[in-house]
Amino acid sequence: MEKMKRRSAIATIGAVSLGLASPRLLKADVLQKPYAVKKEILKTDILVIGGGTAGVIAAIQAGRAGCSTILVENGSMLGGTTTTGGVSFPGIFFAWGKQIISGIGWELVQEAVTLNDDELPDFSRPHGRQHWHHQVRVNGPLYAILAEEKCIEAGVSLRFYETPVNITGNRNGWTVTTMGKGTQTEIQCNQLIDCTGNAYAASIAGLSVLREAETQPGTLMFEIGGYDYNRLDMDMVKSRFSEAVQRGELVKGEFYNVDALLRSGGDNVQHVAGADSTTSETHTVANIAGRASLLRTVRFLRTLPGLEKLKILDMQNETAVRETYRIDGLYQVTQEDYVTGRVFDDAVSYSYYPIDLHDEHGVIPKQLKEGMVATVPLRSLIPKNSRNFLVAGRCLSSDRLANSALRVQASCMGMGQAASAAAVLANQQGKSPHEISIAALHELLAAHGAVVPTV
Amino acid sequence: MRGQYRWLPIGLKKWTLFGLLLACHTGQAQNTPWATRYFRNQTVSFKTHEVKPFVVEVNNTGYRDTLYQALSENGEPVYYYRKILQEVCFEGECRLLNAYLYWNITGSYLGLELPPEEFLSKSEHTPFVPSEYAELNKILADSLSPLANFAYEDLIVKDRKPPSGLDAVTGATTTNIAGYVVDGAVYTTHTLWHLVYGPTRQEVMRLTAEVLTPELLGEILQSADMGDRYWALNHISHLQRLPRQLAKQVLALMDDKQYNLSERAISSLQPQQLGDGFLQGEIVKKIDQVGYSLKPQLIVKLGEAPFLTEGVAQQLATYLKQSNGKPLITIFDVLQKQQVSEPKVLSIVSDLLANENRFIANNAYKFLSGIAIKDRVILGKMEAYEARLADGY
Ligand SMILES: Cc1cc2nc3c(=O)[nH]c(=O)nc-3n(C[C@H](O)[C@H](O)[C@H](O)COP(=O)(O)OP(=O)(O)OC[C@H]3O[C@@H](n4cnc5c(N)ncnc54)[C@H](O)[C@@H]3O)c2cc1C
Repeated sequence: MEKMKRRSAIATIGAVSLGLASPRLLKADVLQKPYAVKKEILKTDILVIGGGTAGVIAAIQAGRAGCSTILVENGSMLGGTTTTGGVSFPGIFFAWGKQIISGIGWELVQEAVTLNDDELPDFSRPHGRQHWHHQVRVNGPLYAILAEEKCIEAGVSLRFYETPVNITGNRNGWTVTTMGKGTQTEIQCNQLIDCTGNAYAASIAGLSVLREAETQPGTLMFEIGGYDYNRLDMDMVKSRFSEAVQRGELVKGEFYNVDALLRSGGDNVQHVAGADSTTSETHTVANIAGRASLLRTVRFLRTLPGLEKLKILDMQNETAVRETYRIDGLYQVTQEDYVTGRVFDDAVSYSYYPIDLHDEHGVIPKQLKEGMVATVPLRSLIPKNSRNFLVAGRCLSSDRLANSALRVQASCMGMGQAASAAAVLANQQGKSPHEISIAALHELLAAHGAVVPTV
Repeated sequence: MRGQYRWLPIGLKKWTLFGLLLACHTGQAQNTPWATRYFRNQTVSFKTHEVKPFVVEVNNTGYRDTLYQALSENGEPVYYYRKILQEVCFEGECRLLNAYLYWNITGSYLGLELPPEEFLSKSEHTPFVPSEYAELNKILADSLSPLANFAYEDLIVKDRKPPSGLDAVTGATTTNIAGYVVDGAVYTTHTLWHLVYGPTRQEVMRLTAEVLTPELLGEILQSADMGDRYWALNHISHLQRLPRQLAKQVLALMDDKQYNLSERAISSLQPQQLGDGFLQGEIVKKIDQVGYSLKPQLIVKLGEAPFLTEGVAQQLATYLKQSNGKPLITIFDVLQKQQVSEPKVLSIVSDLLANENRFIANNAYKFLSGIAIKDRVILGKMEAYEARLADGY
């Protein structure tokens, strides 16, 4: 009672003093001119579009190699699928006990692990069928901040909330018009690296892109809690769940394994069919679908014994997307290339992961044979009929099965660094990326800590 | 010879232990007519001289038992063992588990021995065959086995028909642990695994830690077992200073072949040990020999040293000339943290101001700007850099 009285007394004092101050406050409230969209022309050696898994690494590499660099990202922070998408378990950096992807990507992962007091997996222990044991769990938000710090340290100019609306080729490279909140910018760059994951920049630059008739589903990452998994009657939960699916109350395939959903308390357990992040429109659809699916499932689960208090503890801002468009590159990496560990003459980075195609039944990863490590040729990062243009990340030129393995984060990071180093050399030598010397590229990459494939 | 391995009286002398110790030294499975023994490799190769008993708590109920520590002539621990007499029960039936369990001095599993005429059995009392003992030996050596997460009651799928006989139920074993237990011997495997990794293991590690010397750590570091080496590295941090021989051993582990081990070796070095000029010099040499991932970690270590010797500071600065990215930034951080302002170092850094890579020049400028520079030549180079920057590089 005493406390209540005191608090209301304070509130009254507050009201009195506010009353006294209000005439002055009102005066501070000055009418402003309408905001004029800021129009600007910027020049840069290298422009990276998309500050996700691959793009961050590409931008840092370009900055560290001494090029002026701009990074355009339509979201509000760096890291893409690794951070905003919530897939904060990049893999795989070590194959058969040896490090195959290092450089800037590994540097970031390692720093995130250290600063979060996490422990690295023991890479000397073979992962067997459980390749995820060699993925590194990182704190997503921390990773995003570290990436930002490194970009700034490397002199990269960051432009959040912007996206290209027009890309035109010219004699010196590209003119890219971007739109953002209250900004319209013309960026003139010599080399352009598309790291949107969707080959979006390639597409609006007029270069050909490819897409499968059916793409892999996306996933909204979230965390649920409020129940004790060990006390659940899982047989009952499973049968009630599948009955609800049969009745049409739940959507078939959205949560293909209710046991995994409850055991792990969310994480990578949901499938959003047809999720596509290429445009604002398609990504809006994917986000709504992901969130509606979660809500529907939470409502249903709360009707089951033991799950009455189930609640959403956390949820990512957007549905993470696995597969959309890929470029039609100078070379398309095939599944055969991947599983046989083909070392291309123009190989610029390694990649190691099982063939990992998700469909409505889930996923059965196909592990690589012992000793196999795939490589990424520079040509798969260069769109056909292009000049001064590269891609890095999941939209590289590859067939669907090869892509299901190439798309993983460590591989994207390796590609990001390689594409960027190629762009740096092309910029310095006044060439197009396909014209540079692979030996010089290897040298530059090695100087910046990347592991360069060898025959 | 029969009966020689029965309950061992406290304070046994060398000759009575002969057979028992032989088993440990070989590190292999030995099935003599009088005993069944399966062993992993022993961490240290000292010869056993005597055995010392310790009364220890062996489970969480306060139950006490004797843990035996085998010691070398110099008093170093060689291995540990306990006599196990425990019932394994299921569905109301029990059988006595009568065995010796052995631990390495780092707490890892060393071996299993059964007294004469004892054998382990599976469902319907079928005795283990040699391959099953070998499998059990392997399972017990797996410290990361999922068995850790299974309680005794959770081992069998509950809605199936109860098995007949002790340790039966091959088919009804919960699928999650099939593959981590000897088929048909779920309870025996589980009981033994939890004995190996239970409180006795902590006691073993505690007892070894009490008598750790740099020489013993050096010996453990030579073990072929990765877990043993990690254990030694984790305990090196307690030493006030690293004797040269041990320092060399730790440094030798830092290479690109074993990433995790290298990382652990680097992080094992502690500030109080890093005041040693020899160690600092060796670390600087290593920077050049290891891959990109390990370089910054080595450089950071020099930042943790109480001071940097002049030679090392210069070597670090010289290394700047061939560095970029994270190693470059980390060297500048260390030079700044260690308040290095020797003219030679500053001169090397000032040369970088003219580097055509703006990232390198910019970092050099940032470093020099944090120091009250009086040298005119360096000041001139800084001005030239500023002018270049104003011109848009
Ligand atoms: C649910 C799920 C689970 C996965 N599991 C794993 C796993 O276990 N291990 C693993 O290693 N990999 C996994 N992956 C794959 C991996 O995460 C991705 O393939 C990889 O992160 C893609 O990297 P990227 O750089 O190509 O694209 P992204 O990381 O998605 O980055 C693209 C960036 O570009 C930005 N962008 C897009 N369009 C525009 C535009 N028009 N303008 C400006 N910016 C734009 C985006 O905002 C984003 O920041 C998983 C993927 C998903 C979706």
